[in-house]
Amino acid sequence: MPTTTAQPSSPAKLSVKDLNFYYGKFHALKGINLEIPENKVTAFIGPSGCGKSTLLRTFNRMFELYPEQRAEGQIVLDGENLLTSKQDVALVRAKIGMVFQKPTPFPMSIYDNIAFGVRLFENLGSSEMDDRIEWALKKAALWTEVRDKLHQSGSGLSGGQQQRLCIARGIAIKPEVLLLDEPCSALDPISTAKIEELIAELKSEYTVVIVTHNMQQAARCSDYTAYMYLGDLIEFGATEQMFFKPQRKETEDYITGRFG
Amino acid sequence: MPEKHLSSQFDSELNTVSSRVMELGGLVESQIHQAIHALLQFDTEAADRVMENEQRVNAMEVEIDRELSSIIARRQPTARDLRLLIAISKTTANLERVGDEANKIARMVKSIIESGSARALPTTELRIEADLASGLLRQALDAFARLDTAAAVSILKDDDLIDKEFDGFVRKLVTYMMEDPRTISASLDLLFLAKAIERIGDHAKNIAEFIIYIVKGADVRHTSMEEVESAVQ
Amino acid sequence: MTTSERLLQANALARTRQSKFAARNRLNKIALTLSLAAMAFGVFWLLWILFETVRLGVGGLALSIFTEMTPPPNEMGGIANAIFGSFVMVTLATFVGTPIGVMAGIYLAEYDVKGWLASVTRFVNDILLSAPSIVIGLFVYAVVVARFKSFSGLAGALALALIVIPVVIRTTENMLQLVPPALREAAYALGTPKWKVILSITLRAARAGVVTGVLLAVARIAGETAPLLFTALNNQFWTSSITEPMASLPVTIFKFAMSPYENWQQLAWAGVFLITAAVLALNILARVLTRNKL
Repeated sequence: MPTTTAQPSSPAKLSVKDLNFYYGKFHALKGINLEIPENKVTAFIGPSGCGKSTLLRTFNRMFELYPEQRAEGQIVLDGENLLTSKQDVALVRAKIGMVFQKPTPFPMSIYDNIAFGVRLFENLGSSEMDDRIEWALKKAALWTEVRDKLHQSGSGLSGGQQQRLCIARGIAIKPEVLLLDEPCSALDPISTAKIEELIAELKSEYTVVIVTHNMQQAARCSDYTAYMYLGDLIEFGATEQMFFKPQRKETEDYITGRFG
Repeated sequence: MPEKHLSSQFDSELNTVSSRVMELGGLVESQIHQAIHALLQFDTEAADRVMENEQRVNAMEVEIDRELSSIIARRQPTARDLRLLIAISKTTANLERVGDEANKIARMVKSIIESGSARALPTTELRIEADLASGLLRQALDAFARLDTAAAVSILKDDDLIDKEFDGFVRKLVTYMMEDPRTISASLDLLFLAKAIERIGDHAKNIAEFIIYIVKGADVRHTSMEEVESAVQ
Repeated sequence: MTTSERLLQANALARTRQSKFAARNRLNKIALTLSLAAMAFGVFWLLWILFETVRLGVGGLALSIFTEMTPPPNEMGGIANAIFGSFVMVTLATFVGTPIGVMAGIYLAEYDVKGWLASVTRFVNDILLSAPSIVIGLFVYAVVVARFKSFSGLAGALALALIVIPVVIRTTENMLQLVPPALREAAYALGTPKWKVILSITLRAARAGVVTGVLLAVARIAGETAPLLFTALNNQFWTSSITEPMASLPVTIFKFAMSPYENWQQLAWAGVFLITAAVLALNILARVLTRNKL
């Protein structure tokens, strides 16, 4: 039975109710109940294979790309269950952006990388598009570094820059929720710190959910933390509380490195 | 700690610093016993020994704090480990001050003996207060070693007794001073002495509060007994 | 163990190591020599072929090659009609075969990756890929030439297309599979519909490889003779109509090289030189394109 400490003070942006997830016959997520608070950073932590990435990827229905994966239950965003929504999944994904572990710039110029997503959903004139791209790059703290080479290929950037490009690409379409799947694990400490700064800024406008295997990063960046183990949600609460006085022994064991 | 960390280095570091604290506690306890013995037996040599050992107490405090800083810097402790280290830091400070009190007692004993009017003063009454205080400190250190919250709660209750003894002793001293003004300066020394003993009891109480902090994560300093008992549930 | 015993043991160990190292070194040298010799042997023959081609072909190179038709024996002429015919049929085959091959490759890599239809398609494709080109030529003869009762450049182009398609399917599928799934997922996560992910992202990421595959297919059909023998046949004269028999370089070379006429042989060698140069250029181009990408 999961323990939820303090109810989040902000209203919930995403409500997960009785979510079960299967990879073929394997029961990967077991009856998850969770409220992701709005305009806050929520971190999912847990050992390898606990289901944190799986859970993250149900939010934007990425699992639908793979026929043997299926989800049952409810994920409610703005009053609507995303899993059974009649809406085109592309529109769902426009509201919920995702950044992956490995930076994945598209094989085109920096400008086109960001414009790609925008062009899918909006008809912007060229000066409006320029503005949008500048806005996204500024938000991602990348503008000053690439303003003179917007038409160069995205793959010419360093790892940290590429990841920030992917973040810019994700926010350019103005989603409401941002999902970050271990965004810093392929990066050096300085790039990581820049992205953590970015996350702190982004949360004023977006709801951010971050999966990380680095507990200190979760402690630094997030307002709320969810600890998962073998497909179960063990504990969810304010980060300060989780790292000072967790309710469950399993959580404390994991956080203090007593995990055996 | 019931279970081991994945890092056995971390475990051994925690064990080392915990046993250093226990060592400091033992040293401080013996300082108190020596100081009280000096008082009750008017033994200047015992008083001198206490004042010499004061250096060791201070040195141990510094060393423990250095080890703590090192562990915190390198291990980024969380939850229970964090609370343990914070509590150890404060406990060490409290123990060092107990050592200071013992030192003060020893100095005052010497000054009382040298002033010559020692025999006439009600030092034996102090014995009760002193036994209570050193007993309380012993209990606190034992409870800390075992992280026993029930013992901690009873220590918090017992501290009141020391305060009562102290008040009683002050009234007695006042009577003495009124009867024979020549004893005033020695009586004042005794007063400070009694105060020092009373403070030892306070430090023991603080240590008990930290035990609850470590185990329950509740900071019960400056709260009422009801709040303490509900925190321990 | 005493110091001297330890020293002895260390020395013995050092000696064993030395001798084993020396033995490995010797073996290494022998193997290296053998493989160098094998390489030299193979390269030697290739170089000789190239050398002979250049020696015998360059002599016949003249502007007339490109301007005059294939002559009757013992008359001066060129191979312009053959060059033109090859060019037309190869281009036509490429334009027909490439879209079919690329789209089928996309289907196999992106749509039905593990389905039964995909497995069957791959299997059949592999067979076609290694089918003897003469079999393909005969097939087209039976289906097109015999039906319409005429040899034609069109039939020749068709036969060549049937050779291009399996090659392009195979390389397209492989190149698309090389695109990391993370890239596709990133596109889907933005809300991109499937067809656009394939076209704008996956295919674009794989474009160098796909183009290389096409170029290699072209290089292959440029030199195919057997399928053209039964389909385009040959034509001594110029024709720009693909419904008539058409001359082609490989067939012309075949005819001229085996003849006793010197001028014909000379022209044949010139043709060989041209084909070799074209294939070489295409391969170099393919290599240049893939150099930066992968």
